[in-house]
Amino acid sequence: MATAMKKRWSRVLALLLIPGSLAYAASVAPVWAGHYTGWFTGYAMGNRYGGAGVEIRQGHFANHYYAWCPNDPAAWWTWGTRIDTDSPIKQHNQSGGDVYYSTFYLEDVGDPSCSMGNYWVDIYFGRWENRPSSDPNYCYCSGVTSPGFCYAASANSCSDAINFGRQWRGYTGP
Amino acid sequence: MPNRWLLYDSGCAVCAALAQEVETLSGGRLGVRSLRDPGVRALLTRARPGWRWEPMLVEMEGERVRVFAGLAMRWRLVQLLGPVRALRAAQAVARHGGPLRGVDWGRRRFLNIAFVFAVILLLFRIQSARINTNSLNLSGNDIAGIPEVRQALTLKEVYRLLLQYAGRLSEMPTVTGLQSIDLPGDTADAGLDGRRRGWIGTLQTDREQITVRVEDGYVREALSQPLSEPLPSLPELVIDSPQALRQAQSAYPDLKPSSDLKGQGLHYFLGTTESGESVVGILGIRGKQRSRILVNSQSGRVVAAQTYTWAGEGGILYSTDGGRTWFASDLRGRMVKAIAISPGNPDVAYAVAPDPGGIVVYRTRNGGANWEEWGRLPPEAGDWPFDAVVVGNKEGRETLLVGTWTGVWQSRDGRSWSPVNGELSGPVQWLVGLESQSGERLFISVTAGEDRGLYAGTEDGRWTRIARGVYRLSPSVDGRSIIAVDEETPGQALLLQERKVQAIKVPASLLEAAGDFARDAAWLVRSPSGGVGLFRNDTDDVQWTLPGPIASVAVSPAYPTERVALAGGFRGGIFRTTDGGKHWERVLAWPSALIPGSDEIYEIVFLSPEKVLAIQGGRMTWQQR
Repeated sequence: MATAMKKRWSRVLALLLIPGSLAYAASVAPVWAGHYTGWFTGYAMGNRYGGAGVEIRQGHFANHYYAWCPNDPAAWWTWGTRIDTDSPIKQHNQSGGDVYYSTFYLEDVGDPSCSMGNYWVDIYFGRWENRPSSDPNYCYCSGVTSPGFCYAASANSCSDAINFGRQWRGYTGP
Repeated sequence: MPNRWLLYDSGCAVCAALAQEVETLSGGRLGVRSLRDPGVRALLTRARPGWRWEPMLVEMEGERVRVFAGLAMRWRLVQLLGPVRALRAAQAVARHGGPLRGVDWGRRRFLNIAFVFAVILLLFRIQSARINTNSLNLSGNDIAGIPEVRQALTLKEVYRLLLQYAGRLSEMPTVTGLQSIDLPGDTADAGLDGRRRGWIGTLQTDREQITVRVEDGYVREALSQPLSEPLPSLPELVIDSPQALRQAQSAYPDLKPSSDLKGQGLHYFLGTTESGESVVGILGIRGKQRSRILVNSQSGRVVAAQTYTWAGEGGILYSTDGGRTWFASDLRGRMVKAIAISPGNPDVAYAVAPDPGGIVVYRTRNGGANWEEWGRLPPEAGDWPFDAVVVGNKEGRETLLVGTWTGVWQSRDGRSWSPVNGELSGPVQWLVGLESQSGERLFISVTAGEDRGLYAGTEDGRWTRIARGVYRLSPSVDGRSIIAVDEETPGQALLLQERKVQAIKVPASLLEAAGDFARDAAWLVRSPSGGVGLFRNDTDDVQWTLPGPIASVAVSPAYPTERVALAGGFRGGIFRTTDGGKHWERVLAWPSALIPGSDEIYEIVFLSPEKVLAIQGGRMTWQQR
């Protein structure tokens, strides 16, 4: 009797799990059209407002602009497009602690010469500046308007962007 | 107590039987109604425009209507029924035979409802930030007992929707960002009434930042991320987007919706100025330039009007010793896109740059130190030059050709310009002239539109398609061959010569090549993956010798003997080799020390073995106008 009950419960559980898991996956998983690979670079500080017109912050990224790089399919993505990286990217918060981002929203444009190849992603690392405001390099970072807009912190976002360098990464997107 | 209905497909006998059983099991907590009922469909059309044929749960309380679907519906059902009843519902599904053969997928979805009830019990510990529910407070005429709802929301409506959503969270967050976005189907007239269908909002608690996506009046997605950069809370606006738009258009009547495919129509955002003033931003165009008007969100005062334009940075660097040392030319503060050299005079070159009024061409006659305006392309040419080349004819007359969004434009004197497109349309992103015995032959790459492809032709505008697709062109140092890299098929390229087109293999991520392609077995190649390397086309081996982000590469005209080459970094300076690319030395660490700019060296061009030009990139920024 007990064995029969166990079998019955196992059957019910299996029936519950298989289609339920599929339904869960279908409903929870984002509706992505594709997986892409491309070069990731980083930038920091610089302009307060990006190409989309809103304030740029950690969790945002730039890519090509279709008017400059019509050859890049990703250059046609609209502002606010969400991408999810295959693995998280480490950044820092104001006190220098590690924070990891794997979702980014498109809010800026760059690389007008289209030199970084298709599906290029430029990750924004933030505005943290750990140098005193009297430092001649305060809020300076190569590749962006300098001096830019930054906040006093224990971390330095420009160093984070430089140390990130250039990485070949996979991500999901539209 | 709200009225709750589970909507089911009455065209499916099993679904109907199952729905009745679930209703009984609910103990009065839940009723069932058919999706085929016109009243139900009318309700859904108003409360959830674009609804799909799937099981849904509707709750009505006063004027408030909530529609749950997908995971949110399952969650809600478990909350309403409790775990015991949910499990019994699952058993009922099992009795009805589970997933049925011969039942269409839509009907299977109905049958799967009960299965997933209990699965939710297992999954409810998973912190899914995704919510798929309509929680908009509805108002307006009630035609059939169902309140009216609009697809597109104003800034204030979406702000309140975010607050409603925030009320469900354990820790009450504040709104720190809100902007409208394009949704599929939006056109250039979207936002003219101060409303948009798509929005992204940012909520912030002490520990996390939640990005909420709103589509057609309901919260489609909410994603939690760690809080790194605390942003100031944006107070609820007094001035809503339609009113802010009227204020902006009153002050700036030339504000128009944009046809920019990154964001069409008029867009809205809630943000702060650099002085911390809370503003409603309206994004559109003024003239041909992307613009934003900022209106104080509390008083309605117009605070600023800005355009997105080149920041007055960038320009041309020059060297007179083969790239060892670099100087700033007097062409600075301009975003220069491409350089074309005169084949007949090593002191003459042309630089093309975007300009608010179109495209401007500068010319140097002393090897790059000094530049003067040589001409302006007509407005029909657009405002973005992709590439430029100078070609000579048999009589020695030179013509400058510029590739733009509207094709190829040519001029001999900078004053009169004519298109040489023939029947072609689309952006000419790369443009190279090839010296041949019969005169100059042109190769162009059209990278978007119906005519996308690689073409060969002459100045008279007759083009022959060589290949379909997107090709990036690199000229050989002797001007007698071209490498055309197929950007859509990694590792494939074409070697173009006067009367020969040869398919070749190249490194998979190659974008650009430099060297003597027809006669030398080893070329310099540039790839975003490897940097710059030496590629042996006879063995297909590549050795990456300058790793790092590199934006451009060029070899000296004396390359076959002297092996001097230069590489322009992507925010990394300028590099030089004297041994054909085996070893590199950084000769300029920070181009911005000479000319402020992006430190992205778009192009390097040798006028002679000694005279070299490099483009220091420019940047865009929002400027008051």
